[in-house]
Amino acid sequence: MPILNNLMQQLVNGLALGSIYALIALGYTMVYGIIGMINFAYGEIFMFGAYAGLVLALTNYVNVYVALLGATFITMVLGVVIERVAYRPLRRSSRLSALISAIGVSFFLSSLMVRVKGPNTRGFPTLFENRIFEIGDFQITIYQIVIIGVAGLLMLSLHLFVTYSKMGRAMRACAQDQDAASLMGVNIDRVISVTFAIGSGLAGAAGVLAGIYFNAVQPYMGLLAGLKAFAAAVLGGIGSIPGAMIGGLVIGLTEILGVTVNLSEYKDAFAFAILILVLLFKPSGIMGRKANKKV
Amino acid sequence: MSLLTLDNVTIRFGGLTAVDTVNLEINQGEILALIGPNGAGKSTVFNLITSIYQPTEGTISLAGKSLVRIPTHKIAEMGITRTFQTIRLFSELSVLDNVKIGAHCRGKAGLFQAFTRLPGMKREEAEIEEKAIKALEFLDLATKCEEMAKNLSYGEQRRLEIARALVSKPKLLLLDEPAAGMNPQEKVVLMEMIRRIRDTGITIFLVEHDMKLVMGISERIAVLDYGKLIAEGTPLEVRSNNAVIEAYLGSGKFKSRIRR
Repeated sequence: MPILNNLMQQLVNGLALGSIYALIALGYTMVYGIIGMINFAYGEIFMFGAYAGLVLALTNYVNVYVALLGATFITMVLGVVIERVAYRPLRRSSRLSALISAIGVSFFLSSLMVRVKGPNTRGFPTLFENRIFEIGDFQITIYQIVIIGVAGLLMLSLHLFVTYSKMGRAMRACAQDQDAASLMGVNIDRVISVTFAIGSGLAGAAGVLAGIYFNAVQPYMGLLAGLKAFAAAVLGGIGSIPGAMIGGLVIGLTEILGVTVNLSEYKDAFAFAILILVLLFKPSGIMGRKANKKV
Repeated sequence: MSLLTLDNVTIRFGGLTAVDTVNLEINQGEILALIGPNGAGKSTVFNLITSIYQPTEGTISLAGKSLVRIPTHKIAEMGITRTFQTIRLFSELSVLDNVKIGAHCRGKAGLFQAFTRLPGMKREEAEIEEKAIKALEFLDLATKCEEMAKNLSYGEQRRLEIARALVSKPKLLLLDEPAAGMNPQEKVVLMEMIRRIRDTGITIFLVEHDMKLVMGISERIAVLDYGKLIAEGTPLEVRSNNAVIEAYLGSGKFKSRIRR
């Protein structure tokens, strides 16, 4: 059955792409859950992660895991610094100010990268040999396995961290009532920093994975990826962590399925069509709560 | 021995003096009530003690250590916890998690601790859990551990707030209108509960409107009116104090109540 086989094939491709979106979407959703702002710079943090991975990979001494860990660490620090410099001073002002600041940060980061690394698209060095496994007619590349595996592992550890660690509990409490949490001894600034660190680290890791997968890194790659991930976060129900994971996968799958049915010119439009439909018909998203403001 | 000392504490919001040169000492191990008409500044006093507001003038100190300019999240660590006038539980968290948050100020928490000190963290988490369950048992909520806080009854939610405030073993517990919305039987249970908490060595400072409860459990009462402390003493003394009667019932003579 060639159709079924083809569908399976596209499902795997969609899953790999969706994992990347889901990792970025997690950052959007976590930050929104805690301080109610959309950090539009996540796309650019994703791009920074890709470049960090690229630079590390070019040193030759580094294998894929070191590149991944290194890029994650660098973007974590980047996220914390961005929050300190661009968002914290605006914490008490209107949400719009923080949003505009985020857009500013995102332009700053991509322009900075153009300045430092040039505007051209760069290939990603081969960190490990790509191999293709064939199961019947159906193929899966080792890149896809690594992407889906790493993304799955990261999401699992995030889930465990948020559910079972003390800091995770403090994050969940802050999402509901910051003042009360602070009276229980929770340091709000610290929780926000940790949230930014985690969200940015996930986006950075996604950047390296995307660099490996598409074998292309360029300073504006974050714009579209970031917006699609935002659509994923809204689709899943912004503020909800499992929602962001599901939303990312759905957006990835839709995009790939759209390509399969010969709509590849519109491949970037699917995410935004979904975004518009969700906002029109179910603004709370798949996992979001109805009237409650945030998780 | 005085545990908490308010020394000439004043706070102004623009032209309004919400708390006006208040001097108050809370002794170790006592139950002290702060009463006063609506808008007298009682809640503001709590907010000053917990460092949500900073006094415009004067100092507040706990066992000799100044609380002024200490960030709010350090207050719990120093030994002061509170409940709220309107319930402020983390309604989407389980009962157990709510209480565990109360113990947040004890021990370490962070991203790196969580991943690098796994065994230490596990041990700490087990300790917190044990304490949380003890606090829940103390307030008769142990069977509700896994429920979401929002699904508890009103009285249970009130008790859960107290459990959350007790789990970190504070020196001083601030109760902001603990009897609000309770029926007479629940109030009797609450009085009993407050005494039991005090008997474990925790000093209690409460704001309350219910006079029966206040007169029933307080050892001392302080009365606040328009930000000023107008009386202080045993329930008997306060009950017969003319300034207090006037603040609550009026003097019977026409007098502008608007301060200039």
